[in-house]
Amino acid sequence: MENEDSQEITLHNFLKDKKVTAIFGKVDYLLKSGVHIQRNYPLPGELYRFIERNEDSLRLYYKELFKVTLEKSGTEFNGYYFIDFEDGSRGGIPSEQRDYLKTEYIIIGMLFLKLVKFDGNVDLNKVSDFTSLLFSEYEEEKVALRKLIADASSDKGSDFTDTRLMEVISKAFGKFNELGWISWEEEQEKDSFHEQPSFARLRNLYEPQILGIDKLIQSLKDVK
Amino acid sequence: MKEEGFNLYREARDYYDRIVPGKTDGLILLNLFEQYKNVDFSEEDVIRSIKKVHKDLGQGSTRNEYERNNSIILRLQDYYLWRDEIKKVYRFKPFGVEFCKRIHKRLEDSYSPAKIKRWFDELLNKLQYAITKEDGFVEWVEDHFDPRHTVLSEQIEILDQQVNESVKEFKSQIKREYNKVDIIRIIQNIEVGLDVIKQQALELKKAFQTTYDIDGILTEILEEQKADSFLEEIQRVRQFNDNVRSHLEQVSNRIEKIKPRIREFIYDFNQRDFDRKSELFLDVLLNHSSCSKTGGRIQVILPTGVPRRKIRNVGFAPKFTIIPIRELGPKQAIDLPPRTINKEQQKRLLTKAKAWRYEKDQVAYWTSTAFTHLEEYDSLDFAPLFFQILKQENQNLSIAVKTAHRVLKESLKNKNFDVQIEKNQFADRDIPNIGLWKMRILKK
Repeated sequence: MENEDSQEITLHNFLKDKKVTAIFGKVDYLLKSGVHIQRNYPLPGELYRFIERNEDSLRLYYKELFKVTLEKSGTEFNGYYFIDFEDGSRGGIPSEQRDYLKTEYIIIGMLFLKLVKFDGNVDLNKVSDFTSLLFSEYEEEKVALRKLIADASSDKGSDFTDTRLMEVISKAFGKFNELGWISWEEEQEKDSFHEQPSFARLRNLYEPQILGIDKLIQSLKDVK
Repeated sequence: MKEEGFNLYREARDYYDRIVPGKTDGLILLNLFEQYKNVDFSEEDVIRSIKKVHKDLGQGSTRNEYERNNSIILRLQDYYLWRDEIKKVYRFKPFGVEFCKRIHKRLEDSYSPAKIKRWFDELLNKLQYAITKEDGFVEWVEDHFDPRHTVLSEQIEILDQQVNESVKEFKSQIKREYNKVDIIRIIQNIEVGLDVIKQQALELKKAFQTTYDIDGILTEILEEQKADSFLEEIQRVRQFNDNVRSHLEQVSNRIEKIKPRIREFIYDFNQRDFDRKSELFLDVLLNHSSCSKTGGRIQVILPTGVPRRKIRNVGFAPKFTIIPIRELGPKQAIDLPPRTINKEQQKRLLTKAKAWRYEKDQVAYWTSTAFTHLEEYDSLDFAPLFFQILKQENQNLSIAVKTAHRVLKESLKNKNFDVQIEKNQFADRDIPNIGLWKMRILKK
């Protein structure tokens, strides 16, 4: 806040923000639900600006009261805020299954990154386009994913398994939207989307494994 | 055309090779057309073109060059070239002209906003005249709208196609092993290319502005209820206008979405190693994950060494259960709303369209007032005019602001005018809460 630079930051500071009554409730709920908040999504942009203005105070608030970390990642213009739940162990409370990002969604997210970022399909902005590209040009990846999802050992597919695969893909993008990684262009249609800066979080979650990929591959070979 | 018994596929199968030229023959034709069009040319000229095309395609001269040239010349005469046996010259047959012209048109510098603007203005003029005559509207659709509308929408398709080409080029370039400087330069060029396309889309959008005027006239026809007999045509024209505008919007939007990703690629170029490793990581996930079936549910298990990641904590975020009160008791009977015909909505739409049209006309009127003043007195203080507009237009801020925007934009663009802005607020007692900087436009 404007004239409080010289004061010591406390976890109460953010309560003095003019917008606190209008904004904080929503910000708090979204962050605790695992949503990533960036300039353009979720709207209104005031959500992001509120956190930006009160970053230090909010960080203390979450650290002291909930033992979790409010993190900021990305660049200055493409920054995003989120709560890192990995960091804060809640005093030994057992985690439930649904706290984790589903494995198939992780794979689909990584596949999306491959198609767009590594292979240069820069105009891929629709779930349906993702599916058709996967089906038409990424046979190997499609088969591997289908085998995992359908618990099948065969490389062959059927209408049933393909439909199941498409359902899982659309649920995965639904989850990415819940997390704030993508925003739907048409809420009802749930097909065209904007990739948000926080999509990068997926890779960041696995950064240590990616950087040490050679070792990981070796260890998997050794096990065999 | 006599369609009975004609089977396009069967006929084409037998004549295809003669009627559709191969790459070499096609290029020879295009080379000739570019030089001679409807003018006669000699066999020497044809041979020169044949030699040029073969050289350009890297097909060196053969020992039987004479035979090769001769057979090409004979082949081209089937459909494309006509030989005047008396004068010993060649000329294009109509089919050949058609072939070359179509290709020329498709490849010709894709867009021409000025031409589009002219066509639309012409369509509008013809429409204005047509509606004064009985059945004039239907004639306008048949004689003017129908022949033009494919060409107009083709222009946008070409832009869309260019975006596709840029994406394709980007995809192929990033997979090549260039050094960093080269690849970044190539990709920056692609980005510049996209900017050009976007600029073209913007110019086309301006050229398509006239479609709003055409819509306006159609609204008038609807309004006067003269439309009973040609509702279908009106709908078709409006649909076309809507489609071209939204298609153009889509081209710009597409570029807007692509550009950040291209830029990201440039910024993250140093992360290429991370990208490569990420791809390997994806391979590991795809090929080393496994399945487990527990209680009928399939669960995908990550490979050893890859932990699961928590993305939220269910005990942490509050869960609200909202029970709407009306669901607690028996449901009240709901009165069915009386069925109304869409006349209301039609009226609303009409009012909206009229308001929009009025605003547009007034902005044009005030802009021209401003420039007339400027022409007459060589200078214009804009702020007082701004308040005059507000007063006369019932404080409709939109008209005043849009006029200001247009006047300023046109003055800045025009080298004969000079715009001076003083950062002192100008206000008007009669219109509180609104102030703007003093702005003076001078004629040089």
